[in-house]
Amino acid sequence: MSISRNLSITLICLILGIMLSWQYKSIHNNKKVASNQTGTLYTLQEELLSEKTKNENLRARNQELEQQVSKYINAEGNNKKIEESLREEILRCRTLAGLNDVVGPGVEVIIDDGEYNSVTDNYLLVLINEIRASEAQAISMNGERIVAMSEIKMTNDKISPRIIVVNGRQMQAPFVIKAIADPDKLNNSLNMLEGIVDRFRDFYGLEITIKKMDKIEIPKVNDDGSVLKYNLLDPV
Amino acid sequence: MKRKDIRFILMILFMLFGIIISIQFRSVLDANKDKPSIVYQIESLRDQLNTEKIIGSELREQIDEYIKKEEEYIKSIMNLSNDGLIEEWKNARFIAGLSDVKGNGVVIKINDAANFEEGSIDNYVVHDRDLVMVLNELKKAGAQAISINNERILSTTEIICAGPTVRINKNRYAVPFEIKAIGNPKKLYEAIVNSPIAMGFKDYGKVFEVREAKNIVIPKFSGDINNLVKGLEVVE
Repeated sequence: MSISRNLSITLICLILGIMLSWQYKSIHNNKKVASNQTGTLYTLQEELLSEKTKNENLRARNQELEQQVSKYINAEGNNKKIEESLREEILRCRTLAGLNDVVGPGVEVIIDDGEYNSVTDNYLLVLINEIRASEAQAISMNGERIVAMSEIKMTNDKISPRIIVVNGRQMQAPFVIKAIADPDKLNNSLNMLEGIVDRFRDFYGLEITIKKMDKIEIPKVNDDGSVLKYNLLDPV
Repeated sequence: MKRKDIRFILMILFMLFGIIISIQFRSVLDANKDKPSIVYQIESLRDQLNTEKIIGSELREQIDEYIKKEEEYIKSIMNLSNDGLIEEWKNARFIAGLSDVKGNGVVIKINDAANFEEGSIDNYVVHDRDLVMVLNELKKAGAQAISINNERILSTTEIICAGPTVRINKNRYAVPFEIKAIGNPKKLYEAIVNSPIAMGFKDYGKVFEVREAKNIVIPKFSGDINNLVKGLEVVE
């Protein structure tokens, strides 16, 4: 009697134990699946958003091209006008490539070595990237136009002053970076709390000053074949 | 005495049973409540994403068509005497990054680390400045055309973190990143493999795969150009 009772209680406990562990696993699994799904959902939402922005920009380009084409069609018979439009387009392309001197409103940033730290290639890269993010349309550094394939190369790691090479030309601090952009927008984004000016000045101990300007002149990139090279590119 | 004992044990067992069943019930209920809606949402997001992608490729085709149309139109209405101008126009587009190009070079694959170990999670994910530095290494090694996830790098291209994605030419991209660069493959490869940035990636287990490749195609920039040059006044 006592044995069979003990046996039955053991059995029940055993079953209970198994159920309990099984149960635990199942709940755990459910949670994992749910969080996985939420993750997928989140990624998909991000992807969708990015795809939508892309398409918006493509639409803008399409509209631009449509206008261009209709400009030519409207000018039919007027060869002079067509030629004018064509020259205008060439000018725009060359401006984008950095092959024209340009003027416009913008900002002048001067960055110099501090007492304990000096300006390196990485600081300059971050700064120029930040300026580009504020939709700058033309940038130069110490008179050297920054184009698509412009490198910023530090040739000496340890010695001060550091030597920086841009477009194959050597330069030293202070670096005067000129940018044509909406001056207020650019100024605000560089000067925002914990923005690049704060970080450079307070964390990295560099000297940095920003000046808004109504008129900035930015020179064209040296076009003697030393900077812009295309010999390895084939048109498709 | 023994009877009471059994009752007591049984009572506890049944209480446990009850608790388990109620937990079970709730878990299943929860899972069922979330599941259909999340699955449904995922499904519909996938659909939308596909639609957007199709729209995107249609828009791209349309852009190509417009460019072709423009060229043909200009050719047809202009006399052959002015072929030079059309060539000049094509060349300007080529230089500015507005046409597809092909050549030999390297392809780099970049991704977040698969496993997070101790320390800040920041060390294990790809940042905007990582991409900027990789690009700078490629430019230093003489790259002539670069794209990230098929987004052509121009003189105005920003690479800036925007939440979990990176903004490039105003478009948003998430990991993984594929960087294509045309130039001298060997030179690009050596420069990038031995760069400090590549070491940094390896230290934290972030993905950084470089390979030399032949006939890489780098697509043209396909946003609108007016926005990139409208603030610039050309100085003759």
